[in-house]
Amino acid sequence: MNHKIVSHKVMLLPMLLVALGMAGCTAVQPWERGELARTEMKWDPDPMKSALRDHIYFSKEGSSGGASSGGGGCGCN
Amino acid sequence: MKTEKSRTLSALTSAALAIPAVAVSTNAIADAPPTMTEVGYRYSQYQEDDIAESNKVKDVGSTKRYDINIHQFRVLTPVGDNYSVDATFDYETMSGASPLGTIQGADGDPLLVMSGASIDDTRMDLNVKTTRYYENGNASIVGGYSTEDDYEAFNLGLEGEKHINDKLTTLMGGIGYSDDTIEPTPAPGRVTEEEKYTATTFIGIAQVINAESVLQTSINYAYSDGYLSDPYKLVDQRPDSRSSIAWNTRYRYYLGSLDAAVHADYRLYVDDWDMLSHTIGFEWHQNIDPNLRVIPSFRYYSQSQADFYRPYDNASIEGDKSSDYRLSPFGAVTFGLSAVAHSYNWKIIISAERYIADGDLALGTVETEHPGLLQYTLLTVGFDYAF
Amino acid sequence: MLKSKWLCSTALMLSLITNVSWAESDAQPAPPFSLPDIYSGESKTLEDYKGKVIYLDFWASWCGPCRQSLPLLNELRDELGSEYFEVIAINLDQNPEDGKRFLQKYPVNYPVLTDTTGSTPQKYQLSGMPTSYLIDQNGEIQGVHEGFRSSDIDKIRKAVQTLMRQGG
Repeated sequence: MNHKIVSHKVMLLPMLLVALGMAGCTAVQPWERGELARTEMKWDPDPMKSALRDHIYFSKEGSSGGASSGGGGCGCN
Repeated sequence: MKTEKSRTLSALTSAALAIPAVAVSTNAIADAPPTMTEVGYRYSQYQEDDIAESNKVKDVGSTKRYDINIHQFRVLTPVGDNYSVDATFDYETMSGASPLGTIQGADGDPLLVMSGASIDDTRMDLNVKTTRYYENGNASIVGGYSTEDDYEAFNLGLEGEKHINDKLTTLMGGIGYSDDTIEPTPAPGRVTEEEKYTATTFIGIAQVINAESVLQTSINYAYSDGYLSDPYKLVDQRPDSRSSIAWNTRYRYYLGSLDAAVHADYRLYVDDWDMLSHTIGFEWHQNIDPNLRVIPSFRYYSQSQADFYRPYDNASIEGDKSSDYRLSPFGAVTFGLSAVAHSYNWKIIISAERYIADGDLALGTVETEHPGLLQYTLLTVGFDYAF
Repeated sequence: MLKSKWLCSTALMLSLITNVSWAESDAQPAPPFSLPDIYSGESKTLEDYKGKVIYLDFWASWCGPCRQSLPLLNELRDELGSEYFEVIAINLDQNPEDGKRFLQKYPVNYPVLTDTTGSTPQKYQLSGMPTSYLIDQNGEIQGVHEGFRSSDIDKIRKAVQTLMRQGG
């Protein structure tokens, strides 16, 4: 893939997404946050499941990286 | 939009701080340790499909790929008023054959040189995260230790979150360090002990968009240095460093009319081995009734090849080279289905997943598909209990 | 929204500097409300409880700390008696059925009212969940408590007893 194209995408898309997201924001009152408190609305409703999936994909594919400070590696084949 | 009356109410709030018996608690809901101790257990069975005979060198090695049994244990507990500890322990036993290399067959197609069926290998991983909660955020220390018969790794990390804007916006960041040592089973010409160091850092931001949706985006940078090759491959020499950036974005949306939550995740990954990948995942969390939830899921993945990747092993070529399928270009899809039965303090989970990797699934054109691309089935059962 | 917050904190600072003695500052009358009981639907108002020390607790089924606060407040209310003291809970679930389901698991003997519109927390300037207000026998707010940890119940007991002794 052409690196120049990729680096532009990498720079613009996150900024655009964050801008879009924040532009449409409403001031949700503390007592209106019930739906956001649902288990199924968490970033990670099942941490053990995500940990296992991340470990499998890290071992069996070429990519890595999530929003965490990293975890154990493995000498995987 | 504060009125005169509200100003004095706020003044009262702070004056209340001066009243000895009526302290204004600063333990706001978003940042407090869990109220109960939770324990969890998962048992998973991971089974890779056999290699097709036509994809391997005849009469060399086994067609049987990896079978792994995984036990996961977790304890999450509050400690005092301001701390929590989250500890996980994984115990895995695995067996199976692996590709040692790839050669060109008589008709020009790549063939896998497979190892023999291996004896059981065991892997254990312990991870502990201690979190301190503040009024508008939290900070954590993470430590972990991982061991396999031929492998040992330590990792350490620091993470934090800060809430601003009436807790509608969260800033997050962290750093991590990992030290891995490999001592492969001895063989002539094979390295005996090698080390790898990895440093990572991430920053991110999460935003409540409205009462039904939230968005998070983060960037993760990793740098590895040391021995990055695979000592079990016949011909494998990789660069002694790897630098990568992963950009993750996650979106959660609650559909009140259907009582379902939609999850959409996207990751863009690039590194200095010239690899680029896209990962997109969807989950649909459908509540059937207050005690049952069904979650179908779909993931699509596509990666380009590493610049030193070669479809066929050739020991006489100078420089970095590898025919490991994990560095080859391919695409993959995962179909999953989970069911969660739950009540106030317990949860039972059952899930199944099927993963299929194929050259034709990649976004770009793959000229020569690696014969070692994976297909696997993953089954999980487990429970969580809080007290 | 941010600008008004700045104005608010400036005003707050000024009032802190000028109010030398908190005892003399005007306690604020608790905003009145008229809300239906979550079970019977019967309308209750704050006036109905004048003369008692009131602990007004805003909660919802989705609020984690409420799993601890409700049983502890129920115990406190049984301990101190409902002649001079009462706990009034206002459930803020958009669907009161969620609140009722929570109460099946964590039942309480004190009145539970329901507000699905958000008008009462708005009047009380609620800035976190859960939040409770300590109201004296004259209907004036004497304290605000945000969040809840089990150890808070002792501080609450002391505050309620202080007001019960002082009161008319």
